[in-house]
Amino acid sequence: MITSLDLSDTEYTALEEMIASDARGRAFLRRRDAAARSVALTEFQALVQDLKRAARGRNARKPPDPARILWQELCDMRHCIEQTQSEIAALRPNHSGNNSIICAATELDAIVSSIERATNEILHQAERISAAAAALPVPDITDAALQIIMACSFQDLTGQRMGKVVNTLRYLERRVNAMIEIWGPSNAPPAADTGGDTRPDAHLLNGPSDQALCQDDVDALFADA
Amino acid sequence: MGKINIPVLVVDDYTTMRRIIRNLLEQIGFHDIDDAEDGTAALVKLRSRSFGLVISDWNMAPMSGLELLKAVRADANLKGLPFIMVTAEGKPENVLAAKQAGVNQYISKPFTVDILSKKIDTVLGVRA
Repeated sequence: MITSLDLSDTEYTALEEMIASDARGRAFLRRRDAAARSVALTEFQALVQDLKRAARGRNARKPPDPARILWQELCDMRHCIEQTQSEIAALRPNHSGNNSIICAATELDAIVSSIERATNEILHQAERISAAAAALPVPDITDAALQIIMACSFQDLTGQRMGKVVNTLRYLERRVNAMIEIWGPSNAPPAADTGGDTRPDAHLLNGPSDQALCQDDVDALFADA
Repeated sequence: MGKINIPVLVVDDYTTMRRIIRNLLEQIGFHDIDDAEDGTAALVKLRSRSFGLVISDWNMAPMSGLELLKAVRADANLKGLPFIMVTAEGKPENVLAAKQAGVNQYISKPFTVDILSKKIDTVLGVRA
């Protein structure tokens, strides 16, 4: 029957010296020591993990610092205000002629005027057709002319809708200008990059414009050249 | 058609709309047609000569169609004048407000010559 025996320091040392007396015994001792170190390292790492978990749990239970939270909130607010200032300042670039809101409202006004001119011309021609058809026994032509005239009422409805948009843009423009005035011109941050047209010919009129020359002016320029 | 000789006043701030309604009225058979660009100008014309029918827009400045209607109904000489509102203001509360103010018919834009003709027939029939 095998029973466990406690070794005294003297017996342990004697046994170790006996085993270490030949090469195979020393190999055995080296392997045993390596295995013992590996076990110790694993246990140490597990212990470190336990300590970390304990530290985290302790921090989680700790009440947040109100001053730190307030500071963070103030930093976030300052960031938001600066960003808003930049965005609003970007709406009013240095050259007032390029104000995007004013440009949009002016373009819409121009569209309303163009549609009105075109509608009046369509009406005029439909009236001519109707008058000419009155002398002919062709009711379909008169009816078609009447349908054209009725369809022209779109100008009134689109004009009213665009008028609402223009009024909204002008309201926004007044509010933006008021905000910039509150900060003062010197306090207004530099305009952010608005992603404007960077093409070499960006200075062109970009389509129809009230600033464009009429054909007579173009012909006059050609004649002078 | 008896209604052909009835003088009509068309009130609208859009030139094209006045022109369109004029054309439709001529097609229906009216030939005595005058127009005004807002309520104030319309009231001046209504007080200067006799009209048998008013066809008015609502959204105008300085005097709107509703204000014109109220002024007409408050005027002893004009209060019985047939009044048709032709407007894009199509909310129920708008229609009710116009009705309470005494409008005879209410036409929502866009409309056709048939609708205009029927409403005129109804209004003039009510008047007769």
